[in-house]
Amino acid sequence: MRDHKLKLKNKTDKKFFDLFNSVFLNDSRKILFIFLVLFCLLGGLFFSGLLVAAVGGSPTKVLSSLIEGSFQTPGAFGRTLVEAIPLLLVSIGVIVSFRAGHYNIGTEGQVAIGALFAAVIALQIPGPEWFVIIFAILGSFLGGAFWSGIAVGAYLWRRVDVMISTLLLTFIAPNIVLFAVSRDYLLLDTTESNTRLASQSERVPEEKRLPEFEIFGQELHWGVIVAVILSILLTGLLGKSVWGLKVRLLGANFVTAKRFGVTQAKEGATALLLSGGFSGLAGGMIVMGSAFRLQSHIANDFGWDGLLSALVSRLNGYFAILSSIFFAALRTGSSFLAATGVSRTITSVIQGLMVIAALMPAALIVVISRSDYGRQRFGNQKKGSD
Amino acid sequence: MENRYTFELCWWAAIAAHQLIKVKVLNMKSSSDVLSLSSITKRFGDILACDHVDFNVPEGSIVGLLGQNGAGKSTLMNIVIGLYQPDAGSVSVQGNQVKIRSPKHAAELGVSMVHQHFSVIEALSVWESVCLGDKSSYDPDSVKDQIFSLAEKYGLGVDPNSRISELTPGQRQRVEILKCLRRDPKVLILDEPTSVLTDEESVKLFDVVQRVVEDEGRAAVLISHKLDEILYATQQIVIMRDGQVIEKIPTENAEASFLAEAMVGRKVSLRSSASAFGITETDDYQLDEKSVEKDNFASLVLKVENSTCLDDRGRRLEGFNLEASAGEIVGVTGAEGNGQALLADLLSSLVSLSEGSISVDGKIVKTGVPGAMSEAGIAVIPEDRHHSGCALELTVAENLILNRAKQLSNWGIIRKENRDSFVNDLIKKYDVKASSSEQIFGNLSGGNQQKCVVARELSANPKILVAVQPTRGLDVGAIEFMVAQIKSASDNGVAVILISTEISEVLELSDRLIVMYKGRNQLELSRKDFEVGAIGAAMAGES
Repeated sequence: MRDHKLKLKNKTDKKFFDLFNSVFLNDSRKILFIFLVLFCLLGGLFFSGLLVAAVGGSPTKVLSSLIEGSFQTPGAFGRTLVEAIPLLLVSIGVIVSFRAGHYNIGTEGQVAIGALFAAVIALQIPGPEWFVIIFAILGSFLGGAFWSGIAVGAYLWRRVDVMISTLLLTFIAPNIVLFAVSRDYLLLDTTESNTRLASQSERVPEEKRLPEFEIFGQELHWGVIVAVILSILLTGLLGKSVWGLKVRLLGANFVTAKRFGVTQAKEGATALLLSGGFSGLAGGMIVMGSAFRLQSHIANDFGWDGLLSALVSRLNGYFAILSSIFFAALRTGSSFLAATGVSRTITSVIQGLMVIAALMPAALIVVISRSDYGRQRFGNQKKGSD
Repeated sequence: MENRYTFELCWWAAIAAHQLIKVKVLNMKSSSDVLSLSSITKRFGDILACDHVDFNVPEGSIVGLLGQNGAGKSTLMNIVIGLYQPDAGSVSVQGNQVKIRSPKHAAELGVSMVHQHFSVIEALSVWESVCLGDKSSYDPDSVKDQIFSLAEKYGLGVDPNSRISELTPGQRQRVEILKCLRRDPKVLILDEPTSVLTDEESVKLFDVVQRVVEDEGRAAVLISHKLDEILYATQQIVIMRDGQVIEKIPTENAEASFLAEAMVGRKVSLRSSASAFGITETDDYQLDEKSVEKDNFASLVLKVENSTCLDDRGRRLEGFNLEASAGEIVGVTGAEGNGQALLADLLSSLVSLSEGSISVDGKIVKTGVPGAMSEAGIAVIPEDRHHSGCALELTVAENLILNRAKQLSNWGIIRKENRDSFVNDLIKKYDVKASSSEQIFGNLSGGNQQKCVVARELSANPKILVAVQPTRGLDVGAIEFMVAQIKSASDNGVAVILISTEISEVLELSDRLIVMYKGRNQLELSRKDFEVGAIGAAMAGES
């Protein structure tokens, strides 16, 4: 109801602030949201500290090594960013499908299938390196889209609930990958280095990996740029294009959407396929940019964490960049923490606490806007009051 | 000595008793007002929603609260039931000054509200809905018994075991009322209770309320736009405008024209906005001299032929025919649930025909194909805009361009300059009150949402305009606006299909009229043959 826009003095200021407002703070809800994020993260840190103190450790040391591990030690920030790539890609896919009103929660499986496609192409298709790299990345996109396509098909054919079908497909995907990496006529690594015949593929040869570059002493690969460009592009399209309007209309009110020619079969299916494709792309980035070989647990929770990161960003593609870096930092930080001797179980609990802390604001803001205080301050979202 | 003490004791006792009696008497005096608000002020940002409002509800009476949208009625009642806290002023319930913290607290104090939009849940049964929100434990059988006895007592026949989803709007409302009555309220607030009821149901409702209020010393507040209702059911009328109480009069001294004037703040033509108030006596209906029948309509635009279909909610059309020419207003009326809503859905591409066809300008338009009707030039102002007319979560601007996003875009990207100039023009032209075009649509008031839908539909230069219950639930000003829009559309050569259950509205506006009964054409009359008796008979299924 009320707008809390800042009063401005001159035009250039205004332009900058308009941009700033449109990205982050176009109303008081977003200010509240940012406050809540900080508050909840501090809360999460506080409880993590309590836990560490309870088992006889030093909370400050744990905190500093979390930060060291994700940002401070040489190359750590680069590792965090590389880890954030698949998370961001999954997140923007999730954002597209959720905005269209379809809840694709099978991202973990789509990541695995995307990785499988990328590995097959990278390891088995001959050709010039640049061609193989591009082809593998595109292939991973198609792989993920194919995996979500099964759910799309079931939905269009028999109205099978997308949330359920995508979730169930998640349990099939790693088994397919496992099958592929444990058969020598498929992808099993039969070179001498793999003497115990562990279920994994060969390493992707160095010249066929995503090209790396170094900036400020951090080693990154091109996936970072691709992911950021894609997320800005897609967020822009969702907000400003005809297609984006149609997708959001479908999610907001599918009856109105039908009247204006927006259909589940076209816009809805496209959004789901795109969403699967982005998850698959995340899988491709993992194989081609950081893991370099396929294993059955290649998805390694990237799909789930990406889903969470999308929720934490409240389905905002720009916030998703920040939230996926946060989740990536948690991943790298807690593995560093484990390396400093804190027990693995404790680091997992800390990671879980921080995830809850990051998810709290999105939930709290719903609770607040439904409370008496919120209704009076922010107005009721659902009903226009007379 | 002893005596003196006794005497003094008696003296003090007498004084104390006197004081007590005085207090008691005073209390009794003020307790004849069950609810009293004094000097209530509430401000939202720059808008003064309630400006020093005094409002009393005497015991045993029904008070009508009249006002246009945005006059502050809803805000005032939301303060009474604890949804909002007043910035200044005080609320007293049964003579005790209270601070009402929440609707639950209000209910404990004896103030209950029957909402305009039902808050019952479709999946539950009647008895479950009635005790929804109760904190104490309950026994299903005793709740059912209680519902039975309450229903018996007040003539609110509802089966406690049936599901809400199976009930008609009228029955759902009875459930709401039962829910309120079970809490034994002193004050019952009814917010636009008849907007979804038939006339017969409305009369029944008011009889029930009358009985509840008179026989048991309760009181009621009736919020309504409809003057006839207010005049029929209340003992006292309070009129609000722009957040202030303009007028307080006993109903017996009130006259419709006076109320309308006070409500709008200027003279209104009762004739043209008759349907707003529902005060047109349909029996005495006479044709306007202005609207002589227009004879030769240029060309046939819409042809619905032998349309037959049955949708999954059991609504059906059976060989329904409809023709409309450019510039003609065709009224489609009938008792609710005789296929009018389905006809509207059909023309919105939401359902498909099993038999028959629809053609626009002689070209057949496929039914049930998303977007086909809209593309063929059929604009629809739906009955329930939240269902098929808008997207509450999108912005005002986005809702306004839903049917022309493509025209405003280059390479699939919506051009901001084009969009903004188009949207701002519409907002200005239709006088939509929005803080900006980027406001979330769901935060607009109902009247402004309706204006946006009309603006969008008419901006596409349609060949055909389907208006379904276009004035339902709107206030006088908004109805005047709506009627003017429909008239000007037909003057501009748009074929208008006016689907409405308000006979007075259909009679006033349409050039031709079709009465639907069980999905068929029961009666078709052109303007010169309009006859209320025949229409009424046809609505009841007699030919």
